[in-house]
Amino acid sequence: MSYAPCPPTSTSRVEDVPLFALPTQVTRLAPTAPTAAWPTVRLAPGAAVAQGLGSSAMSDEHSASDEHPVDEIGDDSTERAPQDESAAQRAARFERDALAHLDQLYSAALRMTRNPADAEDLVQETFAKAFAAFHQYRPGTNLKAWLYRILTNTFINNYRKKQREPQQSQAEDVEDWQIARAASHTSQGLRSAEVEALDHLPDSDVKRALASLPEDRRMVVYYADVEGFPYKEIAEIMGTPIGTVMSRLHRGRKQLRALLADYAVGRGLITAGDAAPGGAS
Amino acid sequence: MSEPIPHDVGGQDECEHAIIHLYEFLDSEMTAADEQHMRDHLAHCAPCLAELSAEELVKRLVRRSCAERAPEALRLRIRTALIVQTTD
Repeated sequence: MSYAPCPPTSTSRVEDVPLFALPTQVTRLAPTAPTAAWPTVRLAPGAAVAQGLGSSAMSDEHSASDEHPVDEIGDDSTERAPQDESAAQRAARFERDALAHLDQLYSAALRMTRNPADAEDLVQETFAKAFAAFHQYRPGTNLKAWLYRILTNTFINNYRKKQREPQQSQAEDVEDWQIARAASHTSQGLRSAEVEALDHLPDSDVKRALASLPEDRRMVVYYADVEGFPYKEIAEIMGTPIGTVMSRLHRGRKQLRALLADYAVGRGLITAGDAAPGGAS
Repeated sequence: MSEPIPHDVGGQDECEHAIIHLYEFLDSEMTAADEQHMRDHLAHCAPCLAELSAEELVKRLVRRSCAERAPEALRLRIRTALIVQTTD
């Protein structure tokens, strides 16, 4: 097989260059960079908050913006979409690229809120904010993770207080779960028959078990298992260090497994004496 | 994806090491060398392998169970709101 020389790509890309912010200009700009003369876009009411959220959504220094998204309104980075794009073109691009993730975001919102009505409201609000900030989303970067970050922020700011759930202790240090796991090596392992029994649990049991996990653990398990996000991306979405992600993942999965084993016993899929799921921490 | 940090196995029992890092293996968060090290161990350690298959199953269960479709009415509401936001 022979290889034809690649056609020069530079000519075809020339027109793209002014449309997108150059990566070298974009990646290391501080969030407080002076406001450039970008075209002003009229935003729907409430969009100002989203603008801050969106612009900081996947930035490297995200942790400070978690609690005070409103402070970020002045944030005006150069991570922009095509600047001569019309509102209608942007709407079409949003509908094509962002709305494609609706099902996944709805599923995640169901895990967060644990009821369909709140999940629908949360998703609708997320898309409204995402669209208002869409001109700040940098094409070519991870759109799904960007949307998840807005979803997470919206949930934290508007819904979490309704959940009436005690906040997780921040004292979940890594060594703690490592010791616990290492000690449980032989005693906790499910035998193959038990593993098979878990496989027969209905989806509703798995969702019920997930719903009873503390929110932080629940969402880490969801992101890792359903979305398959790398730890680093989960850390960015949740605004936490990777070590915290791993700690929550360990605790969440361990707890989930214990709950599922309990359900399997309850359904007579395994006998109580056989199950040795270990205590949920 | 971040560069995984190579593991220092020194001083650790092989099983202990495998169990502590099982999730990183399961979630493809290991360096190629550590992943191979893990495979080598799992190939001849039944308890660790059993532990891995249990964790794989739970991961698969979660993925299988959380695949809801958004209601069509919600999709419509979002698209309508988009149009309002665009023409506002």
